[in-house]
Amino acid sequence: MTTESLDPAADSRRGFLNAALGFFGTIAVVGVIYPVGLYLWPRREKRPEGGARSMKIPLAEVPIGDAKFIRFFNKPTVIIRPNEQELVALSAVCTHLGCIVKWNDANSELHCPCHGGVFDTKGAVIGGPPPSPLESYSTTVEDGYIVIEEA
Amino acid sequence: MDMDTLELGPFKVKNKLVIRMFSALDDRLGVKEILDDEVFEKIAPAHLGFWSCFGGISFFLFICQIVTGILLMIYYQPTISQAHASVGRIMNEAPFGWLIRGIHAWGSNLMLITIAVHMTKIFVSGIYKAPRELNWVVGVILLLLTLGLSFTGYLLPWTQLAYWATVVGTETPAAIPYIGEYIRFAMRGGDEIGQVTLTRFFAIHVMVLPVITAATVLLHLLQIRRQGISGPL
Amino acid sequence: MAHQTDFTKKKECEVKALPLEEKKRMVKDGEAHWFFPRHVAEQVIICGALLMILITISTIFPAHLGEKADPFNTPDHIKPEWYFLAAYYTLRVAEYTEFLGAWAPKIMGIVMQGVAVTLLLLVPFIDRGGKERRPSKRPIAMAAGAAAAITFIAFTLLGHYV
Repeated sequence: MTTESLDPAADSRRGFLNAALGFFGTIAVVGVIYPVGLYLWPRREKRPEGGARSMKIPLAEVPIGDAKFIRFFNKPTVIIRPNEQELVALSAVCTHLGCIVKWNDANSELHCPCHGGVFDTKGAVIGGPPPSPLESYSTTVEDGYIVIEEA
Repeated sequence: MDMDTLELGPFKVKNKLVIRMFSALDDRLGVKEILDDEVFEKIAPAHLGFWSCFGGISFFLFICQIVTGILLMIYYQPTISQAHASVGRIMNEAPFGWLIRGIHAWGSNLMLITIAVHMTKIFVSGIYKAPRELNWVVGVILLLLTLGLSFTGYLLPWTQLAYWATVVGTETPAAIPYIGEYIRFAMRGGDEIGQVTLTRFFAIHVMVLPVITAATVLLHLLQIRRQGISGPL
Repeated sequence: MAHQTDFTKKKECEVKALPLEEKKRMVKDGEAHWFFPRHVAEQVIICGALLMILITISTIFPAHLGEKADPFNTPDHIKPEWYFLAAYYTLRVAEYTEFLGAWAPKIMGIVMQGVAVTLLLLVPFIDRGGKERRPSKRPIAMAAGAAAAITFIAFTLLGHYV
């Protein structure tokens, strides 16, 4: 029944209705997508307050020239004592695709079992595909205990 | 429909009660017309050979996966402490559980093979050409959905191989610039693979992907119905 | 066969609308089969055979359940399932792009996978070579398809053995 071009009032009414339809339609779509999206998006685990956490390991558990794998606040971690003076704590998660590295006794290196990444005792990449060195933690020795502190 | 004999294709029904029930249904829903059109007076092309079966076979395997999947879901527990043990119970304690899991596991592998054969046949016979281009695209989407089902289903028994394959599999997209980290975060449901990941993979494997796949299969079949079966070479 | 109905060029709804006499003629001339019972019987036989095969495989080679996952210990020789081996091997091939820069190996792996899937999706729009469907008349498409299939199989085997 509309005669668009001949009736300016009907035209503007139609324009207004279309705009209103678009406006409320958009609100409806966003109103569904936004809460559902937020609901689905994973939450980051909150870090407990009180600064960096630390953990103690008896020094005797890591012989010189050897490595020990520990769970440092649920993160796979390796403590290495390449020689008398040095003490290193590294994340054991390979920076390539997230596998857990293994200690290679013969070469004093860390080898990734997945794609052949090789790291030295400081965590630096010396072979294979890993793009960056292993994450390291600061360590100190106090009365026969190794104290590892979160970065 | 007042008659002594109801003729349905090759079947001749004389039972009065059956005829009365059928005609009551037919008066309301036009059942006879549907049966004649879709079953008894329907013809199928004669040129379809062995290699044309594989789309249908893949569809049948999808149905098998749904049935065995529902059966497995009855005993499976999607928690990182119980998942492995519950699959063990399905295989060792539930009667025929080993068979149901076996069909589900082998079926998924077989389905990927039959889809590959189906796609090869479509490619070699040039069936993807006009006017069927879009159905090739829908078919490839179905392949990707099947791979997604395999990927999410593989983690559910929470075994060493599955866990580490998933670590590597979800780490791979993290290399995409800018959004990669977010994709990994969303896929894992967190920074690491854990309970949240398992629950999400479970929901995606048993509900999200099967529903999307079923709808896409329907689209695939409707396109075939609309366009007809392609002719012989 | 002079007045043969071109069955295969018709939409299903048009085939459905053919007169019953015409359908009977097509079945008699061997152009078509009745859907019921012949076609249905074929489907049932095929599906039944497939189910038997599945049950047989599942009985002879039962699905096994590996060790429980240990997030603190990566086992040696982890390999993805066979259908992801080719994708897995592209990650290794991508390591040879290191000459482009340190960023390249990780990104190129996923780029190659993305390109492969995109090409597969777009096959009908890449191969627009007319209506010819016979493989012998489509040498380029056949060669490209064979190359893609061989690459996929080679990558799968390399991913398994290397």
